[in-house]
Amino acid sequence: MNLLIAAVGFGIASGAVIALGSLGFTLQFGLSNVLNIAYGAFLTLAVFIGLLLVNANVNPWIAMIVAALVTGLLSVAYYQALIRGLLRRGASLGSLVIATFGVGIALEYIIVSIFGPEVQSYGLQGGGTVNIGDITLSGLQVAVVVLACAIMLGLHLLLTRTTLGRAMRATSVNRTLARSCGIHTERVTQITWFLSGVLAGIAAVALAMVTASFDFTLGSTFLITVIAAAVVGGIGQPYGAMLGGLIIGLTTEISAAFLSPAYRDVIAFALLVAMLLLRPSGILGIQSRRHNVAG
Amino acid sequence: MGLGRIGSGRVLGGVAALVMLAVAGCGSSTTPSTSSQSSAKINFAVVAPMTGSMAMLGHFISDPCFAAVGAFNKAGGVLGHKAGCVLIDDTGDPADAVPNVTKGLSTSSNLVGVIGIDSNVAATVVPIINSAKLPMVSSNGLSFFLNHYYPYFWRMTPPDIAEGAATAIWAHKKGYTKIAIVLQNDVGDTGNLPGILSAMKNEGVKPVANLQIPGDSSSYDSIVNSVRQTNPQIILLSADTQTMATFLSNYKQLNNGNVPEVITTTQVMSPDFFNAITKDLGAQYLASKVNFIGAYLNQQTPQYVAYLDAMNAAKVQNASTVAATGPIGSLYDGMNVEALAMVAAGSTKGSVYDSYIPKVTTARPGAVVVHTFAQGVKELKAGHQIQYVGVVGPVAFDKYHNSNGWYAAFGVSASQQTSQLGSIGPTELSAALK
Amino acid sequence: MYFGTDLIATWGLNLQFGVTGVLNFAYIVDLAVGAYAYALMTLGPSAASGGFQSYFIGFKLSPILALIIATAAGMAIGGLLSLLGLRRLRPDYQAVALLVVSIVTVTVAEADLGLVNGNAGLTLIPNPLGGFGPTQSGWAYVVLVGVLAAVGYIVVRRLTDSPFGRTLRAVRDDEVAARGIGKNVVWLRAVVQIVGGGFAALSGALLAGFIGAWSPGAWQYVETISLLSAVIVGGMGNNLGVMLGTALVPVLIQQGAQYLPAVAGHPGLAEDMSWVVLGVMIVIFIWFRPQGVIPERRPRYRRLLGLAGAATGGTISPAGATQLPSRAAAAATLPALHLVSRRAEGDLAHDRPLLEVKDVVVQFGGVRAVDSASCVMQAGQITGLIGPNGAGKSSLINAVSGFVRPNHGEVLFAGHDVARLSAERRANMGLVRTFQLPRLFPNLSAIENLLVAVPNQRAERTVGVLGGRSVWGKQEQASLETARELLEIFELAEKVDDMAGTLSGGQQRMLEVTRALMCDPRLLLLDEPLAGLSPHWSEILEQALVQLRARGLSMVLVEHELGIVDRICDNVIVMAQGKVLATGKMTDLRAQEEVQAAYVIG
Repeated sequence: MNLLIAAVGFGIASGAVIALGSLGFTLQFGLSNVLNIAYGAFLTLAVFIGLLLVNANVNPWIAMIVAALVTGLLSVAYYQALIRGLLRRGASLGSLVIATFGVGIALEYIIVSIFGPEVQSYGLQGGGTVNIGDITLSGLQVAVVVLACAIMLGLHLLLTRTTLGRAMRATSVNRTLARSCGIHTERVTQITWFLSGVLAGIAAVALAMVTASFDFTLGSTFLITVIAAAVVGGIGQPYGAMLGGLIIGLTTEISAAFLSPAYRDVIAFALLVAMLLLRPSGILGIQSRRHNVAG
Repeated sequence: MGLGRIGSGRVLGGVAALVMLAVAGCGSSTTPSTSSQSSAKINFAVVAPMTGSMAMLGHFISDPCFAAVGAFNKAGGVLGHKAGCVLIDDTGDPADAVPNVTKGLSTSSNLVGVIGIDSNVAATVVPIINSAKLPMVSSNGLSFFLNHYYPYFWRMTPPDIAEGAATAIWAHKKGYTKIAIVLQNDVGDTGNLPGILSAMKNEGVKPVANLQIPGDSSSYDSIVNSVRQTNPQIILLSADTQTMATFLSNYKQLNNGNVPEVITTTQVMSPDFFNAITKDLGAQYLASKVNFIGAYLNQQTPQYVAYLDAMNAAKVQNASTVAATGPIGSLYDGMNVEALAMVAAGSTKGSVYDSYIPKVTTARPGAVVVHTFAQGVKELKAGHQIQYVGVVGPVAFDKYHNSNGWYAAFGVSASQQTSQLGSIGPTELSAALK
Repeated sequence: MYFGTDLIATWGLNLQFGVTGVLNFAYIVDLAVGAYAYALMTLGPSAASGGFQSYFIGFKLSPILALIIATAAGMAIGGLLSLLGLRRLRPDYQAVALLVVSIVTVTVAEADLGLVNGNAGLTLIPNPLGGFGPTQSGWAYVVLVGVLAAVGYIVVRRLTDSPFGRTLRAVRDDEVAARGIGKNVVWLRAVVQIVGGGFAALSGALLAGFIGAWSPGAWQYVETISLLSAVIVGGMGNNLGVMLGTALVPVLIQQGAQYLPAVAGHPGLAEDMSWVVLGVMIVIFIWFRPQGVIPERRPRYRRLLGLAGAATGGTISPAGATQLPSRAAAAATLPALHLVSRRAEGDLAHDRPLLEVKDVVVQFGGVRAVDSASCVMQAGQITGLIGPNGAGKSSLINAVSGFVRPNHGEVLFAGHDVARLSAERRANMGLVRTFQLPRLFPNLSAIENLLVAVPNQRAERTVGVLGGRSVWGKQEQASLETARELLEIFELAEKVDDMAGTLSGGQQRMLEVTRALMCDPRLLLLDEPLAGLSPHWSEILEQALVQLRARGLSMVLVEHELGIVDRICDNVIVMAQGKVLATGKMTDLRAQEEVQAAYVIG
């Protein structure tokens, strides 16, 4: 069996989940220029909403959808109640980040005090092993990869084929200009935050399914990978997030297979630093966007 | 990693610590100690991770304290004092632990003894508690304490290196030769590696795989894949609960549901782990394929019954499972030993009763063997010398205050009842570690 | 003790974030580097510890030397981090990049057990005062940290409450405008990264020495955010406010849970709730009092300058000048303008054009905003630059002033090709501009906006500023004099201590022109200075421009309003669709059909 090809398979499987999580994060950043540290807590929240449902014998895939929708709604509420208000009050980038950190930490520990720090699991049995050539994946992983692909395709169509998608892209590039073109930027932003919450929910529940065991630190740990993937691809760029997720997934798994497994994450992150030095705006990022001087 | 691990961070833990340092600056003079006439409440401190990713461990470590003080109070208290527990969060991280411990030591009233102190923080925290002249009973496994002397430090469980050897010996006893080693790359878990390798060398067996894995990863697919290529009969696996559960369920998913046997340590022997493995791999797997190696603890003794009663009386969740591990049992014993030493010394002052700890544990002619605090108090009042033999059996402290006892292998039933499967004695261990 | 070390760290962070606006999410890495450097310098070889902890190297140096080396290491790392700034990334991208650096570093330290003992960290680090651990030294250590914190305060105060601090604040308020007045933003940011890195590292080294241990758990990326919350709660940019914040934030946390009793079965509950309390408090603070408990305060000059209506109470003594003559000399306006055109006079002696634009192309994507434009501007003249919207006037100004690098062509300023030079270099050479929409430093007062523009300030040399007022006081006093007179000419004397962001549109425009004059320009590029101005302000400005020309200052005036061009421009350049259409006297140009056509089309 070829270990490299096997590792590529695993890389795609984990990359798919990272890409989903990263997409949600990068959409928020792209639209609102907010580095939302609380995103990690939203991931955790989604996983535990899913857990509540699964423990109540709800089908895990339905649980995923419900958890994603609830997270989406909470994400909009969070934007409406806090982020928008802070932006209107002219909060600086720094104080915004700290505010999101505050929300994140409060949310995370509310979750702990409800569910406790125990290791949890949805108790799914993996759905057998699927062999495709040298690639071995669990049935669950295959399902998640398919789901992720479908969602990314859907998002691609949304961004390119619909008025909403075009409005989202326009708002992301230049909010003022978009508004003067008659785009209802506020509504677009709300929808984006909803979408990013939904993506967070799906990614988190999918991660919990594949990982099998998790505790309340799932979100804050996964957030790091999510940010890394977003930055590799070019933060704020949806396609960058997809690509970044795949790259991070592949490098972690391949380095785990061929180099010391203990360095699994280090190699991926080392790549990231190299990337930052060579092309800090990410693969698909806008290289050195100039300041808008005098119109 | 992440929010969960910041614990009471430096900045955040900081300034309150300023105030307490003013008190701590006066050193041990503030260490509470009162004459035996006073009925002021005395406190035992539990130093353990209460928050962060290791918080579960802290919950278990605090249980024997609550159980023991319950037993003390039922028996009329220690020298007439009611006893209680104070929890000090070491967060599993030395840099966070220090401010918390210094603060805890100086702000808690009437502290008389300490239990807990996990491997991650022990080397840093033990000297601090030592200079506060508070006797401490620890279940950490650092080899550091095998040759570093702290007068107030006592350890009733053997170190990690012996635990590693015991794991390999147990695999050998089960007749396996294709052995894979998978350890989480932190100090506590990799500390087992030298012992494992030494024991395997002694048996003339080479591991088929020897890997260290990062903790709490979202997937171990590639690592699992390279381990399963070697077709191990058994995996010596030491990691935290979540890492192990994820690793094993990845193994199951990639290997058509077949997962080899696993030998791990009693560190994870908890309902938390049982539930995770049951959910991901099934109760059958847990019952038939997972063994736990840990400090010896005999469940078939009267003192164990008393211990379990005390745990139940303290309303410990899943008491029968939590109680069944050596480290937790040794901490309960440690509480009894500290309290009996106080009674024997007639003082709750650490600097006074510390030297009485060997005097209530050492086997010697004329000493009455006691198994509970109440018995001990009775015999001491009657003017007898005593030897406390607790749930982890008799202890004999060496000059570094380590007691190299027996190891035991445990199994768990599908209904999560733990039982002892066998034991490994000091002679086997020292042969393996030569 | 912790308060002292935290304070050193938050002051350094305040210098970076509060004062200069550098959002350094990798700040905790500086701190960690200091801690590890100290640990490795003082610990003996790894093998000597009995093998229970492993690290790559150990020097067993004296602790005091180790503290110095650790600080230097932090400064080096700060410098390294500032290299990211060279890439001229958008500030929010850069913040994320630094965040990732922080995450990566800690991951490496955790994963590599042989580097600094993995996630268990290093322990048994010797205390600088001897022994090991906090109990060894007690009060003596508090004194040591107190002394170092006091030294730190003096350093940070000299940096922030001085003309240098003013320049840093200008960078924070508007990077583009700061470059426009000749400030080397990248270098200034590097300086605060280096100095801040030193503060962080010193703090880390002191912590490691005191605690006796250092591990990755202590420097997760969220620790930077914790430190930031102290800066924000206390008051950004205000050293005393930050001090209060450093004291306050931990108290907020402690209050949350201190008195909850321990419960069997849920021992972490109290700790958990304290984190919830912390999170909520931070949000409430940022929502209701974003400026912090003690907001940043700016020095007031009104009374000092002897201007009318001196404010009473609550004033900080301004940095620099101690006394100035009253408004005795202010009646005569012309002499003041003389002060700002010293360098310009020299240009009159040459007969070559002051500025020569040759074949300049500026391309945005597929659009040629400037399409092979060539033109000359003579010394001592006001050259008009006119044309319809989208003609490329502003793009040409950007290319000349250095805010856009031309894709092709030369820009000769006094005979030197400056096309490849940075905007700040050009500004320092005397090629100074204003912006179409005024770009002031909104959180500096009107007069500070002027003072900050003075070129070659002695206080901007980092080492110089540490010398204190004796180094820069005299120069500052002269600048104050000039600024005061300019403010009176432009009818801004009443607003001397008002924040620039609170001024009216006309006042802001006046202030921007005034600020450009403070740069001692040789060629002043004015991008539509009259747009939207009331007739009152227009008249003041027009008169001033004429008088400045009389003093030898050369100017380029981009305008839509042809009336003023008619009245004051010596020569006029007409642009349309990126090309130079015509040049000459306005009266001649009016006759040309294509010029008329261009305007009709426009």
